[in-house]
Amino acid sequence: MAETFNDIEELVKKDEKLIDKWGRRNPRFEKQYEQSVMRVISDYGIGASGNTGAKGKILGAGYEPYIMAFFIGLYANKRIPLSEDSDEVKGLGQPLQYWGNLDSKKFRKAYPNLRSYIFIALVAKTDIDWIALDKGTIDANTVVSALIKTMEEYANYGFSVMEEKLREDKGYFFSNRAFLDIFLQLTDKSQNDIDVPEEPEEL
Amino acid sequence: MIIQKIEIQNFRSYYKDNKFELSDGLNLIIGSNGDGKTTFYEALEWLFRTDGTNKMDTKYISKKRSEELMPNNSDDVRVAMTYEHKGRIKVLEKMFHFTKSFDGEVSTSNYSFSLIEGNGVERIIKDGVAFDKDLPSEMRKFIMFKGEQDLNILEKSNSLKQLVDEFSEVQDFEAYFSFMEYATRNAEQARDNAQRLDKKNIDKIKGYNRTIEQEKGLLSDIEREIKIKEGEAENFEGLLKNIEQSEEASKLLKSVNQRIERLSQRRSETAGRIKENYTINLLDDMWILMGFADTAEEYSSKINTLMNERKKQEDQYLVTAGVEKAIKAAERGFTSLPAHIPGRKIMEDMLEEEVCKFCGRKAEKGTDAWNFMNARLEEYKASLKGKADEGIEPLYKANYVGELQKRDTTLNDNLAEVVKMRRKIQEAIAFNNRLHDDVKKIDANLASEFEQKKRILAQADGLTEEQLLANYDNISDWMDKKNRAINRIDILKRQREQHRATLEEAELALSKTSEGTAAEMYAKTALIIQQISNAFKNAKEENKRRLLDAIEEKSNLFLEKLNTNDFKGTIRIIEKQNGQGEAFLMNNDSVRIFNPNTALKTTYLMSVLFAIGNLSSERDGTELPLLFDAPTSSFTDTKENEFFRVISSLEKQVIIVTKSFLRDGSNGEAILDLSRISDINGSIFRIEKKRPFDDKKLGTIQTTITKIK
Repeated sequence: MAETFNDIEELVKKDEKLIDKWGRRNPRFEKQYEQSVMRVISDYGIGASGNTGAKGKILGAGYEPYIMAFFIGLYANKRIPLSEDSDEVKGLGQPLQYWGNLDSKKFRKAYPNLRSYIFIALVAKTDIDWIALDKGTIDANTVVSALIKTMEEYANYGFSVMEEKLREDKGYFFSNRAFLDIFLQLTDKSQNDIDVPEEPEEL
Repeated sequence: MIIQKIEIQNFRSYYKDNKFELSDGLNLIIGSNGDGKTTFYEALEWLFRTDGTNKMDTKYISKKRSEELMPNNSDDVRVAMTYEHKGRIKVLEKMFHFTKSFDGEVSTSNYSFSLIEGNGVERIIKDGVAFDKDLPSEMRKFIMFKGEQDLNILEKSNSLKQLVDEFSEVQDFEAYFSFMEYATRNAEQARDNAQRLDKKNIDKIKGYNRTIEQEKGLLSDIEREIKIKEGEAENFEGLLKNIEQSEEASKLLKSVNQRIERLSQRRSETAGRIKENYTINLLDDMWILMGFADTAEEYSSKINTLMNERKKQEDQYLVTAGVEKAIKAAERGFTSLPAHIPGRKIMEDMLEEEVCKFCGRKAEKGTDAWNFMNARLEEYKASLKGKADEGIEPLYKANYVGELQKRDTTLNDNLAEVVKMRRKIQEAIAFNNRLHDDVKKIDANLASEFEQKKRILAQADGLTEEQLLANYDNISDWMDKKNRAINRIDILKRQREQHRATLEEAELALSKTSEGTAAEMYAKTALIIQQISNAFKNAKEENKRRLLDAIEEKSNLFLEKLNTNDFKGTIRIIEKQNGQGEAFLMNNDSVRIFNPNTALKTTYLMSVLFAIGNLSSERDGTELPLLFDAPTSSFTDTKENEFFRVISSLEKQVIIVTKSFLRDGSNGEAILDLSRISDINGSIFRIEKKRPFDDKKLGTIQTTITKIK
């Protein structure tokens, strides 16, 4: 009895958890980034692949560059609304609930927990009347849509950053340090906070 | 034999008539490349050829002479040597005629080879083959040498036998050998016949004869096995000797290879531990959360505010709905915690133990504090049953905020890890960098090992890596086999002694058996003849050994002279199992010196040659001249001067064709170094190409001879 007491299921009861509703969504992105970013650095549009490295790509499924883009936007705290023209946007093939499962990838491990953190970030960053939601005066789907919108806007900014890097240097993200350095830089609050060693010379 | 003059006419680069008047000591013929040094040497080789081969050939004809010849005109190719031998002057002459036809073809004819001797009154002309009497053809290899590598004459297969035949009395024994064999056979036959008549001792005699036959059979078996084992020992000795010089290289190579293997393994292990797929770490290890702490804090504070607001609204709602409990609660002046906090189990424990575990104060049963806690528990139990019994519609239709709040708890549990993320990333990068440094160090070590390997292989006398490694594996095996063969030879030799003794005993007994009879006489005679025959055999061996000792002794005297101020060692000359001779150098501790430097090798081999030449002069009072083509190419200038100085003091005719004593002139031509030759005692000739010549036309090449002194 005491164990089940603390269970979310019991509290939410028959209502479906919000994260699950959110998980069924496919966030969208602007089509312009499909050729200029997604296909350049991931298997997006190629189909299932056992080994990403074999195709010379840095990332696997299309949601991986999307996650990168999202966190760039999140840490930079910059959003760009998606184009309002529905012809210029498209949804990602895989619903959020499968992100990070990576069942068929060699040399990779799954990271399903990352989904919760994305969700938490969206809740933190989206202005929603939660009490109204509990009271039933607004619909859960409306709330989830607002969360998704936040996600899309952050990612949209992130994609613009990635595109710019690629425009300057086609092979920019083939360096092991490319993404890492972007994130270290974005999250470095004080220059003295962390001493990141230089990348060693090629041997 | 002293060569007085050599004439060369129309022989290759020697155009028309040319002659060298030689002195009886040192003669130096100095020329640069292409000046006709080798041609001089080859002209003599052609002249000395008595086997009837290579008589005439257009390749011998001077190109210049044949080209300038008018059609239907002719001339001669002629090489002649005037020499003094045992007080007589003789001329050995070989020549042929060549004619140019109208269509420019050159043909040869009228070959002649003759030895001309003047007896003061008339000239006696003999076939040139008679020259073999003055200089036996098999001796020529002991007097003519081309380059330094040609000097090791003892290594030529039958040289030793020829030397022995030539210079010891062994050959004189041959006639006795056959006579002794004949005599022994007859004596034994006579003894056997006589003994057959000796009826009294017939059984004894039969017994001895059986023993003798048996022992002879055994001895011949032993001899055969000794030969085989000696062959084996020598074979393995030879193999070992071949690889002896490379033994150290083999060992070094083996250990270098082992180190390379270990380093390569360590390199691949170290490189394999480098994990710097950082882009993947961002996702798979959630490094991407490195900056999430702020967001997490934002979330927590948002949820906290929300929870409070939610409860407050609910309480107010219930107040307005007039719920008594709510009024009471409201009177308390603060917003209650949600009903499920701290939870049923904890609340029941506190009631049981009569203490509030949050503030630590006693709450005895019946007190306000205890009653408060009990009321909270009841409130919770009621909340589980639902609030329907209150008859009031609940304010909230769902508890999504509860979900968010629960997530906050989980988040806080994991926050520590997220905060540590940057440190973790830094450590991973530093770790990889250290591994890169390690790999760099290993690579440096590997490079130096590969350098070392290259050095070993470059200096391994042309042996490949495979051969060197095989040698390493073979050394102990061959050593074993050689030692086994040597041990076996020892045993066999002891057995041979025993059987020889038994045989001798039986032979002696047999000779005595018929004492007092006629057979006794025959038997004794047979025994004596046998003993004489054995003595001859031993004398032959003894003689050979004495010859080698004599060559050795003389060689060392020459070596001493040729190498006055330098390390020289001692020359040893031995006969190998296969009958070939071998001359080598020994250190004073009786250890053989392998690979002496080329100059030392040249001088010690030359010393052997001088010693052999010396023997021949002792034998018939005539010294043979020695003819060398470029023997000192490995010598330093000082060593060379010393060498020639010594040679000129040897009282021996030596003819040396060389490009020494030349230095480069201002316009690239070779100039004779007069200061260096001034020290040299003897005749010096300078041969060179007559200028001008066309470097594309052989027909313009002509050797000219200048006598310098």
